[in-house]
Amino acid sequence: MSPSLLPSAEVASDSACLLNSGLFVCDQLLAAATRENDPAALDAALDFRLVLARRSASPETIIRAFLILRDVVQERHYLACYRLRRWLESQFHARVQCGRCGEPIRVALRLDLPCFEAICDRCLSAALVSPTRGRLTQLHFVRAADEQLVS
Amino acid sequence: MKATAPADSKTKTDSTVVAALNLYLADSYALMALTHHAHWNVEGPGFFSLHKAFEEQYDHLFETIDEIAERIRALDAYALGGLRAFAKEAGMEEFPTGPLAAKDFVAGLVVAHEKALADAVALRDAAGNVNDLETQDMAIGCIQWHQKTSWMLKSYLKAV
Repeated sequence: MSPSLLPSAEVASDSACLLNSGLFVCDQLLAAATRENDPAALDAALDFRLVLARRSASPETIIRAFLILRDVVQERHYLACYRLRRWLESQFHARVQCGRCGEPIRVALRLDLPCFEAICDRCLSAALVSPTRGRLTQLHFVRAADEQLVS
Repeated sequence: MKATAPADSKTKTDSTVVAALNLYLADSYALMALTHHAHWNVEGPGFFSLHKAFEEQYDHLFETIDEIAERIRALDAYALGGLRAFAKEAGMEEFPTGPLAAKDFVAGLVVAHEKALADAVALRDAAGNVNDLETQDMAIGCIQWHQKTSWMLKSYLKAV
């Protein structure tokens, strides 16, 4: 998966951005999986792309789909997984609220953990909440863009 | 052999070229800092080879940075300076402090090289547009180095 390294001047800075945008990276991964005739990678990448392209998909659904994709392709396509991970980390964050009246705490997402539950535990730890959280502790994943619209 | 433009020619002090040089200067300084950070904090089975490779890369960048800044001065303009200014101008994502997988250091540097490469290409073309062949020649050398370094970094990430 190696896009041309000689973009023209007009698209020079755009190409640097494109290389790290979710759908673009996913499409590059699909192309690589097709060339390599890898049905498992193709399936996982297609599923992830469908979820990503669906505006109504929840952040949790997208993250879970990414983790499945990562498990299938990371060994052969580490750079692509890295780009997707960093892109998702820039697009989403976690919001932790302890109790009904607690102030929501925004927590940056780090997806370099083995499973969804570990990611949740890290978010709770970062918000200084015990991983064995009480029933009233709420953890949500939020799109950064949606929060900006609301505020 | 085509003569170079006179020293007081407009082409020598074109603000587009100077702006592109200053942006690339910032990129190079930021990339040097990222590479140095990776050199310090990389861990794991690939430590010795990566630690040494990163050192060679930031040493190269340290020399390049000086050449770029002095080229700006030769064009009778002023070079950008200061960590805050470089970081803001380059806009490169930094590594977190703390443990990080070796492959994440390598992948992060690939991404940073891509940004620097894109700006080196823009510099090359800006210099070419005003017939500043000397700056263009310098930019071409930088492009070649980024391409070679990116190839090496990506090779490390490939599963064998």
